[in-house]
Amino acid sequence: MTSREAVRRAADSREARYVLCGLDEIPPGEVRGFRVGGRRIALSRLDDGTFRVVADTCPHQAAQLSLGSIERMWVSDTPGTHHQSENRNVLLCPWHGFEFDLETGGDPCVPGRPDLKLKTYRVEVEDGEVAVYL
Amino acid sequence: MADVLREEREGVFRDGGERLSVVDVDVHEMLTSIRDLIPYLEEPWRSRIEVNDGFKGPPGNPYAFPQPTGVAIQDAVTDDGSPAGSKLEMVQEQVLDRYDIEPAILNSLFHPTDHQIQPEFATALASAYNDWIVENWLDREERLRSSITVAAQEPHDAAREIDRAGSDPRFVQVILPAVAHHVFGKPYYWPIFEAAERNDLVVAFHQSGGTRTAVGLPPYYIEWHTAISQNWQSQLISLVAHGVFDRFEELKVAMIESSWTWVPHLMWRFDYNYRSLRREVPWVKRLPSEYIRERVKFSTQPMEYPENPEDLYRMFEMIGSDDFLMFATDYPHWDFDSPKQALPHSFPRDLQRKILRENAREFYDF
Ligand code: FES
Repeated sequence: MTSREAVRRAADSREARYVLCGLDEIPPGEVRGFRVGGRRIALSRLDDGTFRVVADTCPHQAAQLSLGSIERMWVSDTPGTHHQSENRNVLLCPWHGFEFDLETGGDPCVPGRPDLKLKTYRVEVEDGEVAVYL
Repeated sequence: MADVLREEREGVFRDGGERLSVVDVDVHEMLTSIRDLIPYLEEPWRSRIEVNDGFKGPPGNPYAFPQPTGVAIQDAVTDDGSPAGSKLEMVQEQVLDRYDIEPAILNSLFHPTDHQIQPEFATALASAYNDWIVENWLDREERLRSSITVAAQEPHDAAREIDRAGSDPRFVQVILPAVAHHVFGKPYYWPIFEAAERNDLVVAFHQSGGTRTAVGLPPYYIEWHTAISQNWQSQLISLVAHGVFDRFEELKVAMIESSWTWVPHLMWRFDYNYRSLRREVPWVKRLPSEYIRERVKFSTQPMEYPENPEDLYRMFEMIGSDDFLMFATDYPHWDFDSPKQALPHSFPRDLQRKILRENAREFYDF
């Protein structure tokens, strides 16, 4: 999906501000793709209602990540048990299922690999609109 | 000849001015017959062996060996018809003295784990075997160390046996058979790993009469022998996937006679799968290859000999750890490797020294 074009340059910043959508257009737990400023980005809304933005192209084989899904990361300290993290959210690639931490953009399995890390972007809710700064 | 081994006189090697005794992590001692265990068994188990037509032992390798001297190298064949590996004097002469090996680790091929019935009897056999090893091998030759034999199908009893035998520091590891019918990573078996860790013992895997291939027992021995690394692969995968390394943070594992050139493939595939499938096993906290590099060592034997020896060294480099290999002869078996010949020139001199000696000394704390 492409954005509604509503571009304003923030007067005091070199970041470009792009309004992606209205606050209520994306329900919690969903992810949606936009093309803005010549980039593909994935806007995720976590289950607490906040937003995260990462690059929308998987560093593995270039799948469109916004066609995947988000979830609280599955964790466990006891073999045989599963529960979902209190604070880590991941985006799952729709092709091979690699996970990407929505805070850092890193793959939690290989956090030290810069080549497998997604770029993250600042996102704000302003006047009922979701704006990303690139 | 391995470049690092310079023979000064028969049986003594030096690296520069320093004596370089080799460590051998796989020598096989053998019973002359199961009846050797009679003095080490209490009733009701003793008479199950003692009676005529009694128990003959856990199932062994079912193949008829096609080699002229059966499963053994020619030198190791005994005069009196007892099994190769059953005479201490021959092990001393043909392994320890001939190659200045110290120590050598005895790995039992007697696996009560393969006696998948009568579990209390299997447990008693394991204890008897460990006592037999002490009296007939360890007490008679100080250059030997040994593995603890257990009946793994009763993990709590096996743990008690590990505590009992493990109080003797000449036992340096617990040996488990690399079998196809169970994965030892399952929590059911964890008392064994817990006991090994508690006693600062390595857990080793070696083939047994229960070792199968992905197709079971193929018609020919050559088919079986070429394919059996599948068993170690499955056991290694299970240790990682069931979280054994996460749960037992001090545990060390040795893969003995598994061959090792398959390890890069397994690590690549396992790491790749982990990135896709981690959600299934979230208790596994790190890339599988990291546990393997840090916690698992492999024996050299059976070495593989590609036409270009550089290829073998490249395989080794792909594993990414100089500490990864430990030399083994596998005496007295037909695929024996000599420490003088096993490592090709493509392996740098310092690395040969580590493989022949230092890696095992560090791993087992010799
Ligand atoms: S393309 Fe994203 S995981 Fe393979």
